[in-house]
This record gives sequence, structure tokens and C-alpha cells, in this order.
Amino acid sequence: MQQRPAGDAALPRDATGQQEADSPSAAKGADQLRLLVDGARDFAIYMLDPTGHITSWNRGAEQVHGYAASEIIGQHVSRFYAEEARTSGHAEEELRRALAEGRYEEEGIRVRKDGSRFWANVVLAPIHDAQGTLLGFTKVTRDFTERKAAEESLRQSEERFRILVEGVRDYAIFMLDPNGVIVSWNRGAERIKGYRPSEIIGKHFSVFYEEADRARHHPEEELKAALESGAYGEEGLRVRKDGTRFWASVVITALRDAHGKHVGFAKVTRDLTERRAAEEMLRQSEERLRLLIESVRDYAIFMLDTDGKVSSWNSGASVIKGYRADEIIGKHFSVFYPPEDVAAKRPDRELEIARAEGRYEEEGYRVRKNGERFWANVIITAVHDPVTGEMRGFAKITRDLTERRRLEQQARAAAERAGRDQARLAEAQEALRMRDEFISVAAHELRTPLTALQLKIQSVEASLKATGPRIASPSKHLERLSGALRQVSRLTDLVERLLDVSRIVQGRLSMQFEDTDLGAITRQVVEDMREEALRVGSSLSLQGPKSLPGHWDRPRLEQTLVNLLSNALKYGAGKPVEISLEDLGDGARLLVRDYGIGIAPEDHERIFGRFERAAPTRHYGGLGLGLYVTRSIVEAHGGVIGVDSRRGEGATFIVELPRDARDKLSTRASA
Amino acid sequence: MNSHYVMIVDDDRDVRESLAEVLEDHGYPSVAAANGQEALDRLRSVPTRPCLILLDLMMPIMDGRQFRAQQQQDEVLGMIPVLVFSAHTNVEEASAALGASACLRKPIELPLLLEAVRALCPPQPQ
Repeated sequence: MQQRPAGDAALPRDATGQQEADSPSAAKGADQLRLLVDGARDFAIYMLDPTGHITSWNRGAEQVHGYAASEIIGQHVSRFYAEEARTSGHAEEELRRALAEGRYEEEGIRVRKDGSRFWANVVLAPIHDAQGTLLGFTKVTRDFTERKAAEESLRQSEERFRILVEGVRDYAIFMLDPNGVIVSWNRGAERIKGYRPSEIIGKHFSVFYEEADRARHHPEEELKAALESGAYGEEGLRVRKDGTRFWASVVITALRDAHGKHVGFAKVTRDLTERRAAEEMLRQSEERLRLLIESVRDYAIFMLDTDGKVSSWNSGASVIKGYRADEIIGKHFSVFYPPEDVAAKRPDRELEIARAEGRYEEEGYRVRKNGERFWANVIITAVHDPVTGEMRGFAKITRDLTERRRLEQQARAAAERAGRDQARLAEAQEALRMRDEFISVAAHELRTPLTALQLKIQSVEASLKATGPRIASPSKHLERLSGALRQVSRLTDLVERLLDVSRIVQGRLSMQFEDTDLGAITRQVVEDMREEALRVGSSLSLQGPKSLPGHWDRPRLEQTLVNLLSNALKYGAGKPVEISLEDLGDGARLLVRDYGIGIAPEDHERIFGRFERAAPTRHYGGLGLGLYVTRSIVEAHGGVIGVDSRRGEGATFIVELPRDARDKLSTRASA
Repeated sequence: MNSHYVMIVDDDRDVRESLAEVLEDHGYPSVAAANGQEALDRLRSVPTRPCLILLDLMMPIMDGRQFRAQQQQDEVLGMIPVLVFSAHTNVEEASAALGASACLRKPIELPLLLEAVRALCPPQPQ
């Protein structure tokens, strides 16, 4: 047990000082002192004779040792010692040392009257008279049991702390004296720096520094800084025993004792090489990412702060948006939106959505610096601090889809064109098919009169050959030749109708308008057709005004009537056909009604087309041009034609003509 | 029983008339019908059958094909040979499809007609 300064024991020791004991004033002082000594209850203060027997006893002694003065005066001091100390003559040894050294102090176990032990601080001093004769000893004992317990716990705690420090392997923890000489060394220090305690304790801590640092007195400056501000920390390179260097985090703390006296430094060093490597890797990877993002030219990738102001800018952003980084950083990102979107507060709304849902994506128009609009795909992502979770801003990725959109539109347009081409092709194919069918029908129609014509001529020829120059039956031959001429006339009609189509198609269906009478024309045609009607078993009836004058093309109106009546007799054979005329004042109306096969409503428009017919060709002959030519004639008069019919219920064709074809046509032309 | 006359079925009056004239010239009497239905009605209403039917294909009410189908269904009428004539370019094909005995294309060549008629309808021994 090491000795300690006696602190509180100084007062009684001084009080029992013998130097002033002989003087009268000293006698008075001695009285006062006696009162003081007697009253001191925390200290046992008593005197021994030169052999160690107790000669005085104060209240404190009673308190500390448990004996009354009457019980103990005259007893030997050794009775306060434990058995083992008594037998070893410790009490005598104390007296001897006090005598020899003028003072003796120790801490140790003492025994009370009741046998209980206590930890005592004891100060023993000899007393001599003026001649130097030993009068005895003063002894002051203090019960340190409580303080001892506190000290023990402190010691244990210090020990634990020491073990802790010793055991720490990840940190070099060691102490320097005020000059920087190493005075302690833990295992972490051993591991990190490579020195064993015996190798390093007593050396100056600058051995851990690089030559250059030593040359500029950096170690000393660190100590100075620590001393001035209590502690100093830095990261830097340090050197191991084997000369290798490592990146270290160093904290030096100035140590002061209870009185504020500087007693040295604590130094804690950590090897950051690994952490630094990780940090370097992270930095490099961040750098790579930054370079990557910066070099991406197809995407504008940039950051917005929480307010929506641009805080970073990549080359893609420059390419797409047209701004340089220095022009745009710090500006609000709404500059990328068309004015109407800004007015509608779209930018703010998009940020709100990104903030609330983490992400916002859309396609829409954005505006380049030069004002040009482009079609963009935009993704806004809220960015949060990975540690705190706090919103840091937004990452915005914008892609220019103009080209893609253009290509899509092109593709769509091409598809539409292809569709139209397809439709046109189908139309053209249908037109071709109809033309082919028409040619076939036309050939058929032409061959019919040709058949009759050929048979009649060949029969006349054969007959003439057989009978020679003398004509046997001239009337028969004349009859057949007249029949042949009738076929020629039929053929001429057919050719005329084919030419009509050609004229209509080329817009050359010319009209010769004159003052004429529809009533008279109709009556004439009806009479002409009566024989034909009779042949198919149909009756023809005509109603309406006898005279219905107007300014029209007479032959064309005849043609119109013949067409309508032929159709009526063809499709309504065996049933009556009714014709009626009506004076409309400024025009005329003609109705031709049959009771034949009828026309389905879906065919009402089609039948007026070229080469069209509602009924199958193989059942009904004809070019299929009648209604087409008829409508063309009616329209050339400024009139209209329509049909009212249902399948199986006959058909009524209605023609309305303006009174004067020229009026209607000129009005229409100027309209 | 077959009698020595020809039936002409065609919707065109001029053609019927011309055919009747030339057949008459060469000793073949004829009857005529304007369409298939009329022809069937006539065949069923007379006791004697014609030795040959000259059949046009494109006619209203009942065309040549429909007539031929009906004719072939009838055991008795089905025996009468048929000469198909048509303005159709592919009359040979159509004729073969209908199982006709002969075919002619309009306009009809008189010698070919007479040759076919004589072959299918030999003059009866008087």
C-alpha cells in the first residue's frame, strides 16, 4: 500500500507541535489546544509514554476505539492492533520509526474495544523536552473505513478501466508525459503500431510520425494544440514499427490533475485504412456514377431541390433542354413547361404527387430554351436522405420522345396510307371486276342481236345459194332482211348506250335544251312500249296532265322514260306498270310504278351506279347502265331521281325536273 | 315418245324467231319458250316430247341451269338431248357441267347449228 499525503491530519499534528510548549503564552495556547483536542470527535488524539503506554485520551479516541479514558490510560498501544500485527511487534516498530524519522504515518487495520476492525490512518510523532529527552509520542488515529471503501471501489473501478483500456484492440490508447514520452501502452496500440510495451514505453511519441511531419515539428504542435484547447484531433498518415504507413484518426487529450497541473496526454489512435479504403471506393463509385450521369446525352438527368429549383445538370439535359448548367442551376424547373401548363400549376402538382407517392411519370410537351416544344417522357422521383429519411429534393429524368413520336406518327400515317391504299386497291380491284363483268355483259348483250342478225343473213344467203339467181320467195327474204336491219338498230342502240357511259365519265354528256312537253313525250313512249308490255304480260297505264311543258332535252327525256319503263317491264313482267305525271308549278314529277321483284333498301343507292343492278346478271340481261345513264340525264337537267321500294313489293321510281333546266343549273353553278 | 320437233328456249324474241325460221327452212318444226319455267310448263302439257331442246343459259324467271336441273330430275324429260347455246365465252365448260349433248356459242353459225341438230335429231323415216 503506497503512502499518501496526510491531508486532514495536518491540523492535529501541527496542534501537537512541541516547539512553543515552554513559553507562558505557549502555556495559555496549550490550554486552548487541550480544549480543542478534547472536543475533536472525529480524531483519536492521545499520548503515549516512551514505552508505548497510553497517557492521555480524548473524546475522539473514545469514539474511534470504543474505550473510556479510565479503561485505557496506562494500557499499551499494541492492544489496538490485530492479533498478527501484535505478534509481529508492529506497534514497537512504529514507535521506533517515529523516533528515528521524527514522524511515522501509515494506514492499516486496527481493532476496536468490541473486537471489530477498522481501517485507520495513523500519524505518530515523538515528543522531546528542551533537553532532548524523549517524553513520549503523540498519536492521531482516524477511522478511514468509509474512505477506504470508497477508495477501494475507486481502485477497482480504475483497475477495471485499466483492464478495459488494456484490452481494447481496435484503438491504440496510451499515455504521454508532458514532454510527449510514452508512459503506457495498450494492446490496441501494440496491434496497430506494432511495438510491444517494453519497446516503446519511454520513447517519444514522434516515432509514430513520418520524417516530414517530424521535421516540421508536427508532433510537438499537436501536443501544444491539445494543451491549449484541451484536446486535438486529426486524420493523417502514421508509421508503424515495420515502416508501413496507415491512415489514422488521432485524438490527443491534455491530462491535468485535481489541481489543474498538466500531467501528460492521453492519446487515442485509430487505424482508418480500411474505413478509408471503403470511403475511397464509395467516393470513386460516386465519381463514376457522376461521370456516367454527366455523360449520358440521351436523357436529361438532373436534381431539383425541395422547392423545385434545379440543383444539378447533365449533358443530356443540356442537349435536350438547351440550357448550360450555369444558366439553369438555381432556376425553378417550371421554365421547362409550356406557359399554359405553368398557368395550370402543373409543375407544382407534379412535385406534390412525387412527394406524396414517391414518383411521378408522364408524357407531355416541354419547352426548350429556344422556345421549341418537344414531346417528353418525364419521371420525377422524390429523393430522401438514406439515414434521416428527410426529403432532399427530386431526381428528374426527361427523355425527348419527339423523334420516337414522329416515327410513331409516321408509322401511323404509313399504316393509314397503307390502309387507304388497301382500300383504294380494293376499290380499284372492285372497279376492275365490275368493268370485266360489264365487258362480259356487254359482249353478251351485243351477241344476242348479232345471233339473230347472223341467222337471218345466213339463212337468206343459204336460200339464195340453193335457189340460184331466181328468187323463189322474195317476201320471205325481205322479211328476214328487215329483221336483220332491226338487229342492226338494236346493236346501234347498244353502242350508243356504251358511248353514253363514256361521255358521262368524261363529263361530255351534252344536253340540247329546247321548249318541249313532257306530257307529249310520255304519251309517245308509252305507246311505243305497249307492244313490249303486251309481250311480257303487263299493262301500261298513264295518269296526269296531257301537257306539261318545260325547257328540256327531248331525246334524253325519251331515253329516261324508255329506261324506266324497260326496267319496270323487265322486273315486273306479267304485272301492271303505272306511269303518272304531276305539275309541280316550277317543275314536273314523273312516277313509274311496277309490282315486280322490288329492290332492298340497302341497294337503293347502289342501283344508280355504273354497271350496277340489283338482280343477278344471269337472270336478267341488259348492260346494267340504264339507271346510271338515267340519273346522269336527270342531274344534267338539274333534277333528282330516287326510288321507293322493298324487296318483293315492286318499285316506284320518282323523277323531279325543274321547269327550266337552265335556271337550276346556272343557280347551282354559281352557288 | 319423242316427236320430230325442236324446242327453242331463249328470252330474246328475235333470237327465238330467227332460230325457228332457219330450222323450219331445213325441215324441223319448233316450239319456243321465253324462259326455263315456260319451257317446263310446255313440255309437261303436251303429249309428245321434242327430239331436241336448244337451251339458252341466261334468262329471267328460270335460267338454263335451273331448267336443266329440273329436266334431269324428271325421268321422261331427262331423256331429251339438250344443245346449250350462250353468248358466254366459256359455254363449252358450262355445257359440260350441265351434261348437255352439244353446245354452240352466240352468234350461232348456221352450218354448225344444222349439223348438230341433224346429229341429235335424225329425220324420221317417213
